[in-house]
Amino acid sequence: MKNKTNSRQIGWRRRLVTAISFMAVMSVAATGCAATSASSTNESGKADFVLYASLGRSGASASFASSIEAGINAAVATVNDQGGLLGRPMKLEVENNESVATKAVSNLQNRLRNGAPDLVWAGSTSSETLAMLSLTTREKVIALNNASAPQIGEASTFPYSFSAGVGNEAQAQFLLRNLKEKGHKTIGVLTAKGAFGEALSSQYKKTFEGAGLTVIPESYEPDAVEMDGPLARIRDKGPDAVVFNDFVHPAYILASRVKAGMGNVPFYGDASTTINDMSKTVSADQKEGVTLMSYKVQTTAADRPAVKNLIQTLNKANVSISSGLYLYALAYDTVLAYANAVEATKSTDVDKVRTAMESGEGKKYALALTDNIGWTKDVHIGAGEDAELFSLIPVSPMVAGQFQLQK
Amino acid sequence: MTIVETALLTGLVLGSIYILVGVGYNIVLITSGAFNFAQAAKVMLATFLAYQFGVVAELPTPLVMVFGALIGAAVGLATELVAIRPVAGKGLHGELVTTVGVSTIITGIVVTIWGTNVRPVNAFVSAEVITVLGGRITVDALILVIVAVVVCASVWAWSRFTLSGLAALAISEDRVAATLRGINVNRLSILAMAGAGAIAGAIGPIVGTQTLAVSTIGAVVTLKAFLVLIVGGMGSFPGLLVGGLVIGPIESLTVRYFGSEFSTPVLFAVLLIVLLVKPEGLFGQKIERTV
Repeated sequence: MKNKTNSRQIGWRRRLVTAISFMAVMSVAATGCAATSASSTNESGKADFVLYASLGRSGASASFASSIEAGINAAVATVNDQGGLLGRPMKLEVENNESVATKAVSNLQNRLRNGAPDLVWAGSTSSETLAMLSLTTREKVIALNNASAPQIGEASTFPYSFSAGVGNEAQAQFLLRNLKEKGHKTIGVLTAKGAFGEALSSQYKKTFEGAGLTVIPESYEPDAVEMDGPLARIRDKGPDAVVFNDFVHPAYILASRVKAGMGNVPFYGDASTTINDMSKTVSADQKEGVTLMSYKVQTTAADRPAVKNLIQTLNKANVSISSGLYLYALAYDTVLAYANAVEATKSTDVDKVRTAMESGEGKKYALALTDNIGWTKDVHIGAGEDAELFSLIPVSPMVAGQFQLQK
Repeated sequence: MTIVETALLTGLVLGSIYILVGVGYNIVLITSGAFNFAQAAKVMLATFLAYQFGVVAELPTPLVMVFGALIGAAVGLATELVAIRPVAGKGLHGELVTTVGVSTIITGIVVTIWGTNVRPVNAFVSAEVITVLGGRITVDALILVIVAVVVCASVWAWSRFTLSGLAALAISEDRVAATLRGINVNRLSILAMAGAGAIAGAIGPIVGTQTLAVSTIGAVVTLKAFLVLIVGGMGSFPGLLVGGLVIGPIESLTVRYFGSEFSTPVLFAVLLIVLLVKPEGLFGQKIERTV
């Protein structure tokens, strides 16, 4: 009797467990369907065009990832204002990778399990981008990014990776032309230690020496608070001019320049020195004789219609422009160049779009940096005409992402 | 102008920054027996306060120093109560971890409020470059060197010639015995932390003339100031002074003549040599233990 009761109880229990499990599975499935449905269709009835962006909203790259994100958002808004991509509204999905490459990869893996997005923005730094590209290449998804490292731009390795980030060679060529115009023959090159600074230093050496100039390369520790030693060593060799690189605190270099008695030597800051505003951190005598290389887009002299559209779109979205406008424009242009290629081919087929991007097809959306990013069959990073991209400016205050040049 | 003199002066300025951070380390070390890794972060915070009150609010520098000292003292107090007291004296040196945590929190707060960009700090007296003993140095940098020497000497005098200073030394010798002799160990520890914080807060406008306000400076200075402390002898103010005034010039001369890549290896080689020859540091005391 007791056994019978027990077996009846077990039977009920099993049924109850089965019923609850079934309901749980059904509700999960229903939620999943609802989520998929919500994310894939919209009021117009056409499926959303999903751009999945992995960005370092926190961590080391947070300071500029926010500018990249705002630039992507501005591009998406511009496309949607024109009726979407082939009539499909663009939808941006941003995931925080915490500025960690492995996190970016695992996030993307999880995202791919739910189906590949239509387009990917692969990270905010070169390391995040490199880590993600193996997945996007395998999945044959176009992966836009803001990298300027040459290896990321190699189309043979990463056929679906595209960045409007300007390669080091374009920077070096621009500086070379200006140095030669001024008649400088012996050039000190001061760069930060580390992969990026060393890559730039090698590029400057190669380009300048290739044009018959003499180069005095020196480097400094990125965490140094003064650069007296490296500058004194450059001074010993009698340079006509010095080219310097510093993302974080170029003001230290200019303070050391005066102490090292190099106030009469012209100093040229490369594009890294105009990411942020340093005008308030240097004194009048430290600024004297210093010229900075800036992307034209982040000066008040920029008059391209797309620059105005970018600024208006950012303002409309209440974005506080915290760094040079270049970072915003870099993301904006890369997304819009993709949109141009899609509109030109009337297709989102990755191989057709890739070919169109390589040949710069499509003019529906005007770009902020340059009309021709310069992508080719072999190179997928910015290699446009340097004279169109850059200009030389004095140390000037920056307001809303643009250096205020005196007319 | 000779090159050696300028490099030496640059080194003295660097050494002075390490000394000013090291003073805070030593004060806490002798009163609590704890190593406060958050001290450099407090100096970093102080440079941002110098920016906020001096550049943005345009307050006069003495007032900026007073505000800096008050906020620094409050941060020191909070560090003592939250990160040191719960773990100090338990034999595990948990404060090494908890004060690193405080340092991370301070850096996080600074980045949240002011971002990662470099912020300007007003000239303390003048940013003009002058020639001193054949080398070139800014007026503010020279003042920084003088301030470092004066602060270090003053704190040393406090520890030697005042009742509270002698009590602090007694605590560093034997915490239990000091308590039995009627010294209020907890109160002195709190005062010491607040004092170290106040010093860190007050020197922001002076250190900031050389480093500007930048969130990464704390991590850089923490390591070098620690190295100076070990070379000079933990807890010794004369050792700290000599250590700073030796390590700074060694660093700058190495960078000047051999390149920046050699500075860290050379500094650690100096540290190893000192530890091999005199493990307690140049001015440190040998501690006898009964086993």
